[in-house]
Amino acid sequence: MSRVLTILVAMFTIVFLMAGGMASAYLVGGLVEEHWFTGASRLTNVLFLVLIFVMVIATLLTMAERKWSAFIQDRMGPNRARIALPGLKNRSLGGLPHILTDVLKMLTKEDLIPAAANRFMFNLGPILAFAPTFALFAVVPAGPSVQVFGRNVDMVVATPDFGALYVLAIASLAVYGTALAGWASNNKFGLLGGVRATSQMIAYEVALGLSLVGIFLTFSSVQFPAIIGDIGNALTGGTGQGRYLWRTDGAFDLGLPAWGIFIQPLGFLLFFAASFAETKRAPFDLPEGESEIIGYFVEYSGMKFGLFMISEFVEVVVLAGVTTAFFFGGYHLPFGNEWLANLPIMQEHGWLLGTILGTVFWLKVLFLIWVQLLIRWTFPRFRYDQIQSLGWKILLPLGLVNIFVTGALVLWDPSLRALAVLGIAEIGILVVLTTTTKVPAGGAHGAHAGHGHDHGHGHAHGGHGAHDLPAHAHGAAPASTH
Amino acid sequence: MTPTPLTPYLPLAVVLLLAGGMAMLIPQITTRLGPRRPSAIKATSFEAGSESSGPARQRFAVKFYVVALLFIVFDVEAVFLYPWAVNFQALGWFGYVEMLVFAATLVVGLIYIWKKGALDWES
Amino acid sequence: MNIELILFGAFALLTLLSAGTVIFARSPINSAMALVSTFFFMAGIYVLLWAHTVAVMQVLVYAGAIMVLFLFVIMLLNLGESSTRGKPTVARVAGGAATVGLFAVLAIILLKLPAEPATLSTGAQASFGTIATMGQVIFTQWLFPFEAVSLLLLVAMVGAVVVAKSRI
Repeated sequence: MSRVLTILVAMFTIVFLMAGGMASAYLVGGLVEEHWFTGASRLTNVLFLVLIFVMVIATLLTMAERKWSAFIQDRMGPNRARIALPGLKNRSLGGLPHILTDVLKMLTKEDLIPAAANRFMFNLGPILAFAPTFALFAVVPAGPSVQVFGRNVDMVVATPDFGALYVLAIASLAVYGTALAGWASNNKFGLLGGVRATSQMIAYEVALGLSLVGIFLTFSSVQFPAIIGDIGNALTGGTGQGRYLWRTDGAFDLGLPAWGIFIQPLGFLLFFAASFAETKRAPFDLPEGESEIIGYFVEYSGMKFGLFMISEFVEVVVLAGVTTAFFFGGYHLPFGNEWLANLPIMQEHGWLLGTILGTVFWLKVLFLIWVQLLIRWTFPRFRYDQIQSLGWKILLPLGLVNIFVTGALVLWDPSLRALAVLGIAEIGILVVLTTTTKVPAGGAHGAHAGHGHDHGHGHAHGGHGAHDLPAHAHGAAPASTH
Repeated sequence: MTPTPLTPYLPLAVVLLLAGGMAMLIPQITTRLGPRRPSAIKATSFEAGSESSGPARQRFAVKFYVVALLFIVFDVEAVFLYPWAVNFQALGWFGYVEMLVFAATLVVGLIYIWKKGALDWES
Repeated sequence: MNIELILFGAFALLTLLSAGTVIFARSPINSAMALVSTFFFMAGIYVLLWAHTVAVMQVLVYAGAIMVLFLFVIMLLNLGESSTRGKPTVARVAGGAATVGLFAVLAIILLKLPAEPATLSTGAQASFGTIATMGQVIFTQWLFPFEAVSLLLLVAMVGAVVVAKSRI
């Protein structure tokens, strides 16, 4: 009973902290808009969204990952670090003090550079790995644009014309960090990891780009604000993902929102799999397979290694944010969205609406991060040939098919309802296949992962992936060296 | 401050500068705080205990280059898809067929590469 | 002195410095990374020209894709320090002549431009250089070149397989 209570209190605290963060982001944004210059709230958004929300979640994620892995593997997880203060001495606090000790440890390690390494490129590697991932979140809106103190406050850092292409362009630069790190270390494991990372990242970048085209053409835009859309009312309806495909009449709106997951389920699966591969986490952790080649960062120590590690966690957060914005309606509620936005108190105090919807956005992000942790710790690693086959032979053709099927349906029925019918049928088929298909004993387990956003969907596709591979396939290492 | 056409890029520039600055400064902390006790053994390449033999940088299979080229080709295709997607509903069926022809040409290439076995990593 | 001019000067200087490094660096990998930064700063210049789409394509395709292939080749072929101080060959002389010719053409075009610099805030319309405008032009006015690009890409794919055929 007390365990349930602890969990409830912890969850309430998290929601409360996020709501507090969003409320201060909106209020500070309104203040600087009023007293500084128009557009100044964008600069405070850099502080709140990129530096506070993304970085704090990424830091906490280092511990959440270890705790979840422990939970899944029936262990206790890290609990030894304690804070020597009265009342806290005997509490493990869910492992939180370990974050502090980890950071201190990394900061005080000796900075080793191997004699054979290329010093300049060795130092450049972690910089090029961290900087692009850190800058990725800049175009993702975390909340609606509302009036605060009579000024318009957007909860996004930048809205350039190319919108989502910024994410793809900057993410493609992260390849250099891993490639250079592996090469400059002048270490066989490192080089192998770097080559694998580069080859894997470019294979999945194509699928990543193609999987989003369906969303772009449905909403006729590449910009996040247009794709997420605005909230309307019963008469006008919303735009983008803020509108309903079907809805009930009445003051409280209930219906099927035009979220990406309903109109582009295949696009979602492709995007999630491809972006998962971009984060280089299991089941796509070939570049850093701890048990065989350690990774492209094998020669790095201290905070240089820390940069590689934290950029992986930042990528997880950004991936969850981008997926939320494209496929889970961004900051919109699944129902009651218009009712909430048109309440008199919300109309009067815009920051209140912003805080609620912003918290909704971060809750969705946390949910998707949790899904990623589950996948990370339940699926075994792919073999290298499976990684390449999945990228080029499955995701790429499926991505192309998805674009043209989506395009035909959008032209045939611009209200997107035909697309939603197909999408829901696809989801239904996946669910039925998942619940009825039995995994053959001794089947190629490695091919399962990466397709689905949960265990079940992975199985539905997994059998398909395994067919394309020879049964006598060898391990990964012989395939990648010569 | 009056808004100019470059105003939307100001926060983006701030983020990019901040990212670069943080990435350069954070490793410096380790260099300053950490001990410095170099030794010949520490400076050798780590190969899980066994002594390193031969140069680390070796030539790799040509498949990696074919895959990299394939990546460029489909990246360029994707680049054409984005402006197409933005104008999709304005262009209508005409634009649809246009892109279908474009993509079909590339799919021919993909099938060729596939049949030639460049995507098979096991052979 | 407006902010755009200052930014242009900064980007131009950085582009030139990076481009110089590409030429004068001894190690090919340094040259490749300098070329990446050249592309990145050129994207900045494109933004100043109000060509948003070209700027992001510059990063996405040139810095993010083509240079990855360059880096791959340099890393995996294990190229050593370059030997640019060697004796002149036919290819080098021809390359040098082509470079001088290209420079001359660009110089002539630049000299023919009007001396009055156009400022961004007044010269360009809001829709200029956006991804939507560019799409309209590509898919209506430049339809044939667009379809021809697909043939070019097809040739590239086939060529890669033919060149590497014996090793696949």
